Amino acid sequence: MLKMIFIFFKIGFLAFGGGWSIVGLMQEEMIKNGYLSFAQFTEAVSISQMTPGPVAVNMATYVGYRQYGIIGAILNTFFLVLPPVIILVFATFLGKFIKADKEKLFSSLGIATVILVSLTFLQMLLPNVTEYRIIIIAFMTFLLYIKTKIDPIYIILGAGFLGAFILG
Amino acid sequence: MIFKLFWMFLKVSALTLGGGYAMVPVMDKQLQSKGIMNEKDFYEILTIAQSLPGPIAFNVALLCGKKAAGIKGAFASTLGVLIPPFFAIVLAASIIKKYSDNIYVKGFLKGSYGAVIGMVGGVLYKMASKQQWNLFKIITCIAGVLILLANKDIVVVVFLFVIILNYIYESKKGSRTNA
Repeated sequence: MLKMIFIFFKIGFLAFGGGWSIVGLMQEEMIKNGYLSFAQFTEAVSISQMTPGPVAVNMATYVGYRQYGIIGAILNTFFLVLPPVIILVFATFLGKFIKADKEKLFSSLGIATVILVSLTFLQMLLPNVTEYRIIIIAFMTFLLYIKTKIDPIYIILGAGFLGAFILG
Repeated sequence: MIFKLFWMFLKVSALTLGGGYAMVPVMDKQLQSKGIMNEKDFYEILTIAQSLPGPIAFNVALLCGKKAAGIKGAFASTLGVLIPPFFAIVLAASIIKKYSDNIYVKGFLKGSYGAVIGMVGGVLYKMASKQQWNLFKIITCIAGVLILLANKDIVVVVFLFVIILNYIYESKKGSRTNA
């Protein structure tokens, strides 16, 4: 159990720019360590996005609960959100020594985040999704997401019901 | 105040679907209407929250709670944010365990997974459009993705390397235009 908690603690430090930057890393670690199969990972992602709360926290809770019940869920959640608290405590301290230009730092951080989210996107899509109907759903959602103001949660639920009929 | 913060964040977290970015505007509205925080303070907090690792909704709750009522406030607020999804997930996980062999449930999860992929693509698209791209950034970005696809164990090294490299590049470029 310590190993699992440590994985989430470690990943928590890289969660810049919202949860999606670390979902790809979670996938890798979960499958490599045998906590989830790819099919179980897709379930975990769907459920985490459809329930209230941040997706990365929900993933951590879900995996912890599956593996070690309530205790695993609590510890995973706690350790995933510990890094921002640690950084916040040290940031005021470090700020006295390191003088960095905020704008340049944000822009550089932005690039690193784009890399991680690209990785999540490719990991979710590439190796295992071969069903063309899923790819069509993904592409349609992409267009709806960037072109309209429809709340993504409705698109995801709609796609779920569509999936129950055409993929079930 | 402590209980007010806890209750407010609990409510927002329980009633907002769709992750952190959906929660932030609701938090802003609630905090202002309850007179806990003004708009200027909230946006300052939001900027800091975005520069920290970790889920944005959690970071906003942490910082707002701390600002409004110190460490106890921070604790109450983050607890409020975390409790509803925790029970929702535990509940969902036990339901899924029971019905995961049902073909309709399987189809539903597959379909929504497809939509989530599309949404992540959309998030990426919006994130990338906000960047001011130049050749150097494009190269480091592509190189970073390729390296990580090949080996994810060095993610921390790549992450820091990209930040430092881009920071140096921006500084050099800045001094050239100044001179």
